[in-house]
Amino acid sequence: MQQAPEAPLPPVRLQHETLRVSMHTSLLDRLWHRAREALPAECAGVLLGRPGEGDVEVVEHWPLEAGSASHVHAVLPAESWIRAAWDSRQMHPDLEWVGWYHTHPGHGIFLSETDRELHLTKFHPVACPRATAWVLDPVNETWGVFRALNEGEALVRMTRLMEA
Amino acid sequence: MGHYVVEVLDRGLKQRAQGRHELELEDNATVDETLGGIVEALELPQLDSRGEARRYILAYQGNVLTGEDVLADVVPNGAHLMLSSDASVAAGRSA
Repeated sequence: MQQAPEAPLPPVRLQHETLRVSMHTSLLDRLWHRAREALPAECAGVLLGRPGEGDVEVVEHWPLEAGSASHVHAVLPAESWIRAAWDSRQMHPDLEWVGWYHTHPGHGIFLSETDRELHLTKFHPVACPRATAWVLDPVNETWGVFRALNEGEALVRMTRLMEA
Repeated sequence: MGHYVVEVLDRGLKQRAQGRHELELEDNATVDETLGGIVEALELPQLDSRGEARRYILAYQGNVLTGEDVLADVVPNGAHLMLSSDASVAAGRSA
């Protein structure tokens, strides 16, 4: 059964601050829809929202065009990030990038070393302490959220407090 | 010299390089030469985490700029340019 949180996600007390992340079910539904449409391949995108003091509201997503993709990988060239940055800013000038998502069709909720490297490159915790990485598995219908603690350290999975 | 706003998209770079920078760039320089000048001016890292040469790309209105084109011929003075590392990142289990 698909899990549909009404938000807020954690809080998990980390080294510097508690972070509460919320995403409306309608947006999560759209992410599930895109994840299923991309099957059997992975897909990815940027999350847009409004970061606040100790919390983040994720309100929109923007697809990242993969250079290539299969059920176990998706190559996201720099051109795709630039295009997403430009286009999302034109369409949603009031929103900031607050994280990213990608899918793991059938192989569970975790971040590979490549995923961690990507997060630390694009959403460094010093510059983006409230950025989160979302992973969805459209085959097993599970999902999870991760955030970075400190530079170079492992990303930790966040826990959910509430679900609809 | 032309006045440009250069935005660094990769926030993994050191903190002082992040965000937007107002730079005076040579109008008669090629895009590739301009790119080198920006990397030098912002003191961006030359190597990636694997010790390999890091390449950067420059974009205007979402379109990547490369090659021998002279900056002033393809980008208006005062334009908002975007700079990102050229590391294609493969997300996923086997990547």
